Amino acid sequence: MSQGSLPQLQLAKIFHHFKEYEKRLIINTRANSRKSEEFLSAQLGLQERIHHELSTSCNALIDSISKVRNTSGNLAVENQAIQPQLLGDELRRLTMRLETFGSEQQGSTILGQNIRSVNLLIKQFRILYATTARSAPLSRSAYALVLLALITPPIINYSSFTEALVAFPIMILAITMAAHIISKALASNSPHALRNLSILIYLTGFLPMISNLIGQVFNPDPNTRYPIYITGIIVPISYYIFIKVLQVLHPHSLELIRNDELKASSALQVAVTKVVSDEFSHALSHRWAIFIHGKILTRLAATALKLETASQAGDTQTFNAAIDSLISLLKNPDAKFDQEVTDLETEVNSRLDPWLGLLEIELHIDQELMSVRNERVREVGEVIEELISNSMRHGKAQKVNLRVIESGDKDIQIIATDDAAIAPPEYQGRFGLGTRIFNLVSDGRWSITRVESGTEFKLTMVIRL
Amino acid sequence: MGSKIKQSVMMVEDDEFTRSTVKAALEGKGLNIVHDTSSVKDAIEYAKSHRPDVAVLDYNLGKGPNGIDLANQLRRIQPNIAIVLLTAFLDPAQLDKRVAELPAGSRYLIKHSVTKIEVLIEEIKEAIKSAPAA
Repeated sequence: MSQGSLPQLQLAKIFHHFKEYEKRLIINTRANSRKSEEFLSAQLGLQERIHHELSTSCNALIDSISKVRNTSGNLAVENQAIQPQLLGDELRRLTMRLETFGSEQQGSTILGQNIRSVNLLIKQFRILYATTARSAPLSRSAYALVLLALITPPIINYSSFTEALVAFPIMILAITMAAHIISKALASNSPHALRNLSILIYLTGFLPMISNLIGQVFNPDPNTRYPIYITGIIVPISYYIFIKVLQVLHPHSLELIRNDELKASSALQVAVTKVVSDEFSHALSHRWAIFIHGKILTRLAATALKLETASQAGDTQTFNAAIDSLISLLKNPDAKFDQEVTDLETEVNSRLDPWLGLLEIELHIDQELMSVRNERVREVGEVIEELISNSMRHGKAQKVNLRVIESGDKDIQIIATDDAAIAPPEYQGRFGLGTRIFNLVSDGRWSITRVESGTEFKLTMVIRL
Repeated sequence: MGSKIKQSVMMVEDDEFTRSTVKAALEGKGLNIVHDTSSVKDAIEYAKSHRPDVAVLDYNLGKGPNGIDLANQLRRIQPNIAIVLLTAFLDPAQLDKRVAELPAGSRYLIKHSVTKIEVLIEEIKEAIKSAPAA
């Protein structure tokens, strides 16, 4: 290995650890967010809102059916009056609102997510900077050398050799003094030390401009005047950024990162909670929209058909029974929404069974996990449903091997390999309902990789609460 | 109304009320409903062994595959099967963004437009006409 590649290796090592740290940080922050008051209240609020809107729509429908029922004593007339109500326009509008609910949220597009990621990264970068600046500040010489490196090109370009001989020592002296002041400011126990440090760093960046302007007072010469956009803008800003990056790349930050000594900033915590809430909202709204379509709108359409047939046959009993049955459903529209909690083996099989005949599925569940029964089990089912749908619909897979195995005391790992010819949308960086469900359930601990013969999906999630 | 449908029809619908209502209405019009089920697996097994001429499928079949997944599989088993897809969704992408393409010649019918069974019967006739030749 050549010696020149060592600093690069060190840099790559720092970035690698930073990336890993970022991942762990987000995972922990997401896990905390799920337990936060904000998330729990958002979750409850959404459930209540959907329940309220559904009940309101169903009650309005009951009222409109009741108004036209038994008014004429003529089945055909009554049928004609009821039919328009059974189109369920209000419920249809509700499902449309539910479908667009998650996608209206800020940051649910790829662009929005990326912008937010950059913002969060900047905020986390500030925390890393603040921590390392206090625990392992840069040396004075580092402050001085960075500025000297920045100002050397203008000095060479705009000064004669003699002037450079004068300018350099003065500059070194001024910069060293500034570095001394910066170190002092940082060493103070002032609560504003970091803010003062930032101001001082920024002001220090103006030293070359100030010294050049002073020089111009004593010896005016347009040829040796530094361009103001260099010394007044580029040098101070570059100095500020370089110093901060250098501080973050300090070897000590590697230790902090490795040991997870950096906590999420409150901004990061708030933003992650928002993301988790959005994912939850979108997933839940989608489930409700599908439920309303499958269980209520479908029933309205079937009732419309039944009434039409009964009316043509003059069958009052069937006609009335169909309306009574519909009203009974509308009075309690969400009765079948919340499924019972089952054990993990039953849940997984209930998700896989419908696919048999379309796909060849090999399943392994660790013996110890089969009887686990809690509210997270349904989420295991949702993940499996999503990944099988992906394999089949998107990847055109014909075979899936699925393993649900223990991973530590509390976690499980869901590993699926298939023979998909096409990579799933998540692999291609496309953001959809699947991504939201995977993120929500695993707190970001999932991956999709293309393997030789298809796709491998891995997701780790907490199963034992 | 045109000629009577003599072909055998299989129905797949996960809502029992809807399934029995549509089945009764179709039988009332003289259609030969040879099999009705809520299960995709059962529908596939039936198609393999009995080769029905027509499949009337619900799009949203609950957990697991949807009607389009099933329709495509049925076409693989029986390339000339006529398919009518019944749905409560105006846009199939509402159920799932990863909607596969409907098999050629299939008919897609919004459920609330089927207040008269004749509408469905007409669609079945169209599906039979446009299904690939055997």
